[in-house]
Amino acid sequence: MNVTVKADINELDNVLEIIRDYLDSKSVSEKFKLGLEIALEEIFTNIINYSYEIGSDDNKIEIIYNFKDNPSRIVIKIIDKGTQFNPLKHKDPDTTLNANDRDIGGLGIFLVKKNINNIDYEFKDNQNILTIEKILDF
Amino acid sequence: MDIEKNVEGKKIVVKVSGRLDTKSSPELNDALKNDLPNVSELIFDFEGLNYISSSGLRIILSTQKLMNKQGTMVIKNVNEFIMEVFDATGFTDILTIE
Repeated sequence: MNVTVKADINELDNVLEIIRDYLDSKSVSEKFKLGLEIALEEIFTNIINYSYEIGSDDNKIEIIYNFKDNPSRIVIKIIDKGTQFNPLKHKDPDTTLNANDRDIGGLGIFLVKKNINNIDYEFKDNQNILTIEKILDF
Repeated sequence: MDIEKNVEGKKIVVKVSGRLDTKSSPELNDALKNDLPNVSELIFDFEGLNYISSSGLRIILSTQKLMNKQGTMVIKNVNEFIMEVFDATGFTDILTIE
C-alpha cells in the first residue's frame, strides 16, 4: 500500500488517518497507535524542515506501508527527494541533564527511536528512504 | 487542542486538552507568552491531553526553564501515555508532576 502527499504539515493528519484505518484490521492498542503517530509526525516534520528546506508544491513525501510476519509488524517506508539527510546521524540528547542545562531541541528523532522497534536509513536514487518497523502488540 | 486559562493574581492555571503536536504547539506558546512574565505560580492541567510530540515537549521545557527563574511550575493529571513520553525523554526528572 502506498500514498504520496505534499510535504506540508497540513497533510500529516491525512497520513495518520490512512495509517489508523490500515491498522483497524488488527486489534492493536491505542498506545501502539499513538506511539506510531509520534514517530510519523517527527519524521514528517524533519523532512519538511531539513530535507526540503525550501517550500514548494513539488515537494512530495511517499509513504509505503505493509504488514509483515514473524514477528507481526507494520513496516513503513517514508521517502522524499530532498537534500540527503540522515536523521540517524543525529546525536541523542542527554536526558539526564537538569532543565536549565538541557537543549530544547533534538528530541524528535529520539522520540522516533523510542516509539518503534527498528529504523533504517538509506540514500538511493537521490531519495532519502527511512524505514521504520513496529511490532504489533495485539 | 483546547486551551483554558485561569489567572488569579500571580497564579495561572492552564488546562490543555486534545493534541499538543507540531501544528497546535505554536498556539500554546502564543497563549502563554503574554501572561508568563507576571506569573510566579504556573499549574498545567493535562487531564484532557492525550497526545504530545517533540514540539510540545519543547514548549514545556522552555516554560520550565523560565519558571525556574521566577517561581514554580506544576503539571497535574498526566495520563499514562503522556507520562511514558515524559519518562522516555527524562522529563519526569526535571518537571514537577502531581
